[in-house]
Amino acid sequence: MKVSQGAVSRNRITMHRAVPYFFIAPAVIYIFFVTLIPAIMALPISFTDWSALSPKKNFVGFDNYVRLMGDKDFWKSCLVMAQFFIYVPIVLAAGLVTALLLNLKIKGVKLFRLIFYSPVITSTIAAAILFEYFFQPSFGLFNSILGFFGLKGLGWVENASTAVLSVIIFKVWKDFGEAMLIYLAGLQDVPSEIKEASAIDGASSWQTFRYITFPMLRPAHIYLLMKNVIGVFMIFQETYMLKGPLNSTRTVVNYIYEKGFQSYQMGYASAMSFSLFLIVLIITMVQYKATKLDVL
Amino acid sequence: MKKMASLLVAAALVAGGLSGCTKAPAKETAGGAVSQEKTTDQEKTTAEKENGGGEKTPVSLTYWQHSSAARDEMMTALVKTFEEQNPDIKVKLEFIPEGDYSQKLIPALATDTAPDVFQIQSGMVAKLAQTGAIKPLAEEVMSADSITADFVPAAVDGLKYDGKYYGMPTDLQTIVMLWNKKLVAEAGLDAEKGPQTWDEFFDWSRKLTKTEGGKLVQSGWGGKGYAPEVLSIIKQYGGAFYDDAAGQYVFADDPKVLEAIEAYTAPYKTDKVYNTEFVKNWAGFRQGLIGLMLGHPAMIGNLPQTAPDLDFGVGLIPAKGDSHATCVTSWGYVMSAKAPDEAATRFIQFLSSDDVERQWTEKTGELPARKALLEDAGLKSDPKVAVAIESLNDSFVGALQTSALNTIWTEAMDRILQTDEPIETILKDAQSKMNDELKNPV
Repeated sequence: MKVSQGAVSRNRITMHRAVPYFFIAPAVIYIFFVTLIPAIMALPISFTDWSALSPKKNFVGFDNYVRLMGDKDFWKSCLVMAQFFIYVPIVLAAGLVTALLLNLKIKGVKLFRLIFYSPVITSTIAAAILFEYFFQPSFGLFNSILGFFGLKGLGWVENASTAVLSVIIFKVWKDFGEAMLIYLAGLQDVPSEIKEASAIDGASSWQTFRYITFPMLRPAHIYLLMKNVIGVFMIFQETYMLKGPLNSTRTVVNYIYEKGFQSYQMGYASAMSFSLFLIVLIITMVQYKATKLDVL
Repeated sequence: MKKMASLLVAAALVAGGLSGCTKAPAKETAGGAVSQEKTTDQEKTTAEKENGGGEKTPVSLTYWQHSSAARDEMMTALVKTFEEQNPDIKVKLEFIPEGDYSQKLIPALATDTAPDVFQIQSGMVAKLAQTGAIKPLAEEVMSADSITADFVPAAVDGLKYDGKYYGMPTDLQTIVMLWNKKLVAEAGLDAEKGPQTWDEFFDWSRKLTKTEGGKLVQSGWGGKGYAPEVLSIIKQYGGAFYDDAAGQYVFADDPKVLEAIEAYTAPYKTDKVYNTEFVKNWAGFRQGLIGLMLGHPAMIGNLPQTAPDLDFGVGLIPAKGDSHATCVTSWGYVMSAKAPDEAATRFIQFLSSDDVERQWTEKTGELPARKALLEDAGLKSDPKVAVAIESLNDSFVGALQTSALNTIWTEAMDRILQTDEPIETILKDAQSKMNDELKNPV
């Protein structure tokens, strides 16, 4: 039986439309089962006194949420987490400066791109162990550098007042490569004709950057801002490994982990997790609206 | 054609991703270690019951332990020996990195898929026994009377709940004293004997401390409030830390506890013998920057490997009066509620037998829990190990043997050492938090 040209054409269009979904399917399935479903399941668990040491759960209503409101340690960990927001502009600036330098046509630029991106793909745990040695007050690399310039060494992770700074330094080193990559991609999209035209009009390099390049990187700014702000809420491995004294680096996620996996209060930990999930969702939606949808 | 190829590639990716969701049954390899290989056999990972009559099918046990190279190697060899001695039992081993151990064990307990025999911190026995996740050792294999008669009380008392033994000890440790012989000799002190009393110990810590330009360059003692050390000095001062009858922590209400903690912390706070910003304590001891340390006997085996040039002495923990009372910490081998009683208890019995304990002590530095081994000439041939074994003669069970309680204690000690808050306030706060932990329903 002959198939009409129209039918063949419709089949091709359908297949053409279906192909992208097959490519994104593994990631979507992964996120659905590993992230979304556990996040949703945290809600019913948060209304129980489940210890996770047995399947037994008793319904306790809103007790966990009421307890959360009065938990001083939870709010202290929120304050610790808030201190890490300073990391966001630092990592964006570091990524942008590096991207601008690597956007120049110089020899070996591809090697430098690889070198600067390598911390991103390094294991956080392994890197943190290394940085623990760098942060050693007596014999660590950083105090040796400070001493070389005649400056007094710091306590770094061993001192409650410098522990957060230490983690921020580590996190900037670890993550700036990703910002660099996103900005590099963004810089490729800035038309060279506009920059050439501004040069002809007498604009300095700084003026070109300030009024042309920087604004045109807006999609990259917005993506990196949103991603890294969410990342601050999720800080765990870095503060788990580089633990400061007096709970100076104990973030909300660290506290949730303690309550869930050390105190075996999985119901309460779920209440905290779900509350954190809602806060992150609200902030993300506010950012989303504030930065306007069209850029995404 | 190109689109068809793209579609096939995409479908392969999806199929590959979904196939990772299926559970590959565990398969026993030679020597007992488990590998996750796909097999067409429908093997169960839980133990099978004996068939009634006729030939007995081997009972299968799954065993989990937290991993280290030395322990993994030893356990693999031990399981082989056990299976040769007990051909009716097969053991599947799984070694899990210590950092991931509780994260893997807890979901297994929550979903009733825990292994048959596994290790837990001894402080967890009561909680798991209450939930019914573990059960007592089979009386017909290891009677409570025989355990009480044969084992050091401090080693097994922590594994008891409601009068029954739920496990046998492993990774048994006390607190002993270590000193850098070179630094001690330079200070004109007796490098072979070490300080005997707390007063002597604190005096040595001051004499071994050196500063240059107001900066610490050598620490006399790297103590920073590790729970078993502090519990030991509290016990020696006659302080009450935990009330068994009331089931409550009471340390904040006892002036003797306060006296002991003030004595322990004075070298750090007043005499400035150590500062956490100087160097990490064990790293400093290895580098020859710290004169005295209190630590577990496991360091006797560890230091020759990690600091081969360090000449160190070992002695009992300092004494108050005649008592060198030292705190015992341990993990326990326990069996899950669904484990076959007899087979699992026989395996645990084997792991705590004379011969196996002797091997653990000789090869890993873990202390033996059996009374008979405390006088074993072979084990005591090494004078350092002999001191460690002797420490068990005056030992007691620690009351802070869960991660949550240790976290609260560490926070309290950080506050005592690094802030000017009144010690009484800090202790009351810690006591309240610890008693709240005890109230958590399971």
